[in-house]
Amino acid sequence: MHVIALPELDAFRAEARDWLARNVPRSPRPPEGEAMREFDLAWQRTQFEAGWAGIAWPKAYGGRGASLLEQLIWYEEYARAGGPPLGSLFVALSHAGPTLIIKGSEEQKAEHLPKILRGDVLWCQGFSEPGAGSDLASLRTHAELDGDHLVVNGSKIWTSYGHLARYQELLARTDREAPARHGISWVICDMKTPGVSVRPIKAMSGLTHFCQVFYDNVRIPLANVVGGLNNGWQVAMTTLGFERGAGTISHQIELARALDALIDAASRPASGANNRRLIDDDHVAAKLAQLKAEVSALRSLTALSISRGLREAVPGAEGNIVALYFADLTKRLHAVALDLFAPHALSRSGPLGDWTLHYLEAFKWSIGGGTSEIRRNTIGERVLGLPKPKVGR
Amino acid sequence: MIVDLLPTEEQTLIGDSVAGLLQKLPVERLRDQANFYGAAEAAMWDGFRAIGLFSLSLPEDAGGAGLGFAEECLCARLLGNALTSPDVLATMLAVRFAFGTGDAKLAAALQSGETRACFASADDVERAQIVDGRQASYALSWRRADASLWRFEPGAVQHCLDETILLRNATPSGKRANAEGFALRARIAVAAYLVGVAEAVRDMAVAYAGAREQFGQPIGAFQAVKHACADMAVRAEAAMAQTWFAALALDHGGGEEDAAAAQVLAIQAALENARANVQVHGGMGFTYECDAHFYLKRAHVFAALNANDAVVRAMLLNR
Repeated sequence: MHVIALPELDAFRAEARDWLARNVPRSPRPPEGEAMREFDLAWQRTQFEAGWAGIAWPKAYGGRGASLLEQLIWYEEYARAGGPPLGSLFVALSHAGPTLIIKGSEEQKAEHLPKILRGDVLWCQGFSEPGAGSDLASLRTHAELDGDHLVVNGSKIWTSYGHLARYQELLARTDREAPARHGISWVICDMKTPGVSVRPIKAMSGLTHFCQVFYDNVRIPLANVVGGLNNGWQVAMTTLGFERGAGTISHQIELARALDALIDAASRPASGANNRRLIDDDHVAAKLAQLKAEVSALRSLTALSISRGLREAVPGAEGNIVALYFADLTKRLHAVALDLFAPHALSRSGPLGDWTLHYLEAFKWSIGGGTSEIRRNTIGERVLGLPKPKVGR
Repeated sequence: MIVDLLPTEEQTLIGDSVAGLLQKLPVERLRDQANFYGAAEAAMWDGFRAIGLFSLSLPEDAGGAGLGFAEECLCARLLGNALTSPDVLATMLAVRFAFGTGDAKLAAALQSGETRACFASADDVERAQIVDGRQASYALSWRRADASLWRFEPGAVQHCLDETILLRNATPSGKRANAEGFALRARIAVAAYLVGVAEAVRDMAVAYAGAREQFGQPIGAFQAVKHACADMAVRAEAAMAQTWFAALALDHGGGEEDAAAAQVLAIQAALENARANVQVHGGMGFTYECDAHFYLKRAHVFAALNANDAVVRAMLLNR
């Protein structure tokens, strides 16, 4: 428990701040579709060309080879400069890339990591299925061994950016006889392979970010299996660990920005007779102050995740704590925003329309990547050591 | 500011030595009225002094260990674990207060155990009540960012929600020193004590939920109970992370916002966890035979120290 003050970190921060101030895109980011993908990839390319992509990734694959601390500083400065959200690159940069770095073969790393960092491709995730959500290990999408290929049949769902991504981290059952968690493989699926079809799904917010994916005799080279055949569950848990831990720094910083914007908006004189400001109401101030305390704690919880990350390469179950905190806080923050701006918030075309959109989008955080209920189970069992329930009662 | 929020080896050793001493203060001591009002702590005051608890953060040439506020907060958390009399933490803070205001004589007297300090419930002398402080002659209180250390004469005894705490009216007597910014240190130290309470009840609830069986299995296997325990873990960890961050920030130009956030979240974590712990213990939790109520009552005492919601809100919102 100490302040890490190193001259090289200060120098890194100054350099990052300077570059970001000059290079963060000023044009608005398209909200969805191919225009959004092209925006995100172009910005990634700009960062790569200037040497800012993959701060904590190995140099051999195009990264900067720095530590998690530089990664944290980068995100802090990125937020300060008003950089766009990671958006459609989230799976590639925060899931697939880190997983390949730890579990991928030399060939897999050499082929895919530079493509991700250069902004050539998006990745998507093929974990959940219509019949396998929280009970992920019951997944049934099947991959049959045929010579040096796997032949995949089945369906995946909640695949974010599945309609825009080139590659997918795909979990498929490669051994039907083995116990549920021992017969799964983690496979790199090229979304352009014949037999892959994608159905975009519109979310309650009206945005179309995720999809159902169907596999009809899709042939994938065996060389695309990551971490060995039937070891996919272990590999996937690595990925989920990143999603739950330090991998979400960027989302947390975006949330802090959202709260600052909310406090700013509540501090402006309201249109009306007495120019009264929303924040002058004690109840409003109390709600905003509580959110402020929790957003500070979220930043501190992230620092705690980073502290653990400096000691262990693979994040532990504690990452569920910060993920659960983030999900709950995000939903409440946007609910407070809608409360404050009612009835103006009913209009989605006005200046407050973004708050409405973000309120509706926020519901995903306590569902996607593990529901808050499952996270509580995991915290109870794997952090606190409480027993699993006896089944069959 | 970039921080490492996990203890260093040195900090772990310091914590171990304090925890070793605190083994003499198991919470069940409070079942015996003879140990109310910090009696057991008063008897082992010299032990606290001997391990350097009161002078951790003083420079070595002032008889201290030359450590930082972070180490003091790690100790405060352990004091909270054991529901140690608030006097111990108040005296730790008072030493630092006296040293910082240039009163070397008072700092030395507090450090040696010859003089002891306690918390006052409010900075306003009309409303201030003395919390424990059976052997104390100085009281520490605070406003927004500033704090005062003042001599007092004890008055009438009041019944305290926490019957293990001696609560008295007081009249100021003699000098009153003020320290700018010192309230932030007090707020964070109090938060650290409350983190200790929040963690202790989390562990107590988890231990009981893992052992108590109903319907043929430990109640902690059921989601209704497991999730209550998980929420306790989340609240404790958020409060802990924020309090450690605020403690480190204090020596690096940290502002009111981080201190206030630590205070708010630690109070909520301690109170909500203490309440949940009573519930997890069921019928036993409601009885005087189970220690759960001691934690709840002590959390209320620390939550009420110099409490002013409007001030904390203003600190958080930079107003």
